[in-house]
Amino acid sequence: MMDRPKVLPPTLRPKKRYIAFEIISDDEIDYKSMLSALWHSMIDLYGERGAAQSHVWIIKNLYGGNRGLIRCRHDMTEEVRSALTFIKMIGDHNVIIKVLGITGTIKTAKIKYLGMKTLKDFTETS
Amino acid sequence: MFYDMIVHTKSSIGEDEIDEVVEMARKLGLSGICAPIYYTSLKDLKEYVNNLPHYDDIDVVSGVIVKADRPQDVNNIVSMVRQKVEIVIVHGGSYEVNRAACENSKVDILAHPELNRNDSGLDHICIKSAAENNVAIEINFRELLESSGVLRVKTMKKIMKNVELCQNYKTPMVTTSSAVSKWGMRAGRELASIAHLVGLPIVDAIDTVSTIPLQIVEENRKKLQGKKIGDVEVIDDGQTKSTSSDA
Repeated sequence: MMDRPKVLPPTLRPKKRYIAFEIISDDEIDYKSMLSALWHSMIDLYGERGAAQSHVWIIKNLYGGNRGLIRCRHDMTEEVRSALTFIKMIGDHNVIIKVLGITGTIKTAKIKYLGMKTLKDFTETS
Repeated sequence: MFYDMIVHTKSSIGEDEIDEVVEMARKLGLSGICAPIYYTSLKDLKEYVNNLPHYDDIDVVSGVIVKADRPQDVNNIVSMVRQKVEIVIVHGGSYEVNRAACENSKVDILAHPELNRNDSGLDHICIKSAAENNVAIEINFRELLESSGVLRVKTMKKIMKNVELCQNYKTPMVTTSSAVSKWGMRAGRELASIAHLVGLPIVDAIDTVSTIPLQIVEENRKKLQGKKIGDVEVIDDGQTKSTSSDA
C-alpha cells in the first residue's frame, strides 16, 4: 500500500490560477528571497488564516530573469495582487512588482508571458 | 489607459527628476502622470507650467497642491491658480480645510483628508457637497505603503470609512501612488487592487485610476482652451459649419 492519499477526482480539486509577474529592480532577485517576501506580505496583510486560504506558491522551475509564476486559488487573485503591491524592498534592493497577467494554465502563461515558443511560431506564414 | 494623479518630483518633495519618473511610468505601462508642485507664488507656478516637458507616449499633466491652514486661504489661492494649471489639488488634513475644498467646485482633488488625524476627516455633509461639486477624494497609497503594523491598520480604517461614505453619495474617488521616489510608483491595475482592498467593488476601483482622472483632465483642458464655460460646451465654432455646408 502506498503511504499517501489518492489523487482527488477533478471535481474535488481546488481551482487554480497562475499570476505571471515581473520584478522591476536594479539587480536580479533570487527565488528564495522573492518567496519569503511574498509570504511576509501575505501574512502582514491578511493574517495567517488569509495566507493559508490563498494556497499561494511560486513555481520554482519557471522562475528566472526576474520573471515568474505564482499559483493561487482562483478566487484569491485580487488579494495576492494587492499583497504583491505592498512589497517595496527585497534584501537591500528597491523593487516594484508588476503583474503581467493571470491565466488558467501554466502552458498559456508560458506562451503569453514567459516567452515560450511553440511550433506555430516556426511555421512560415507566406 | 491608466493615470497616476500625484507623483512627486524634485520640484515638490520628491527625490527623482521628472525624466526618471516618466521612464518608470513607461515601464509600468501608465499612460499619464501628474507631477504637481506645492503652491508658493504665481511666478513660480508660471515657470513650472512653461518648463513642464512633453513626451509622445506619456501624458504629463500640470498640477498644483494648495496647502493652507485656513479655509479662506484655500478659496483665495484656488481661484487664483484655477486658470493657470490643469489640476488643482488641496492638501487635506484639518476638517475646516477639507470642508472648504469639498464645497469649492474649482477644486479637482482633495488629497488625504485623513492625514495626521484620529478620525477620517470627512463627514456626510462634506461628502455630499463633494459629490455636488464634483470634487474627487483621494486614496493615498503612500500612506499605506510606508506604514506598518498598528499605524497601517489605523490608516486603512480611516480610508475605509471615507470609501464607505463616498459610495453612499456616489462621490468620485481617485487612487494615487503619491510616490516620493520612482520606487514608490505602481502600475495602474495594482493601484486599482488597493482601492478594491479598502472596500470599492472592482469595477469602481478600476475607474478610480482610469475613467475618473481622464475625465477630470479632459474637462479641465477644454475649460483652459475656452471650449467649455461652466457646464456649457462649444461643439461648433461656426467656421467648420460653413465648410461642411459647402461640401
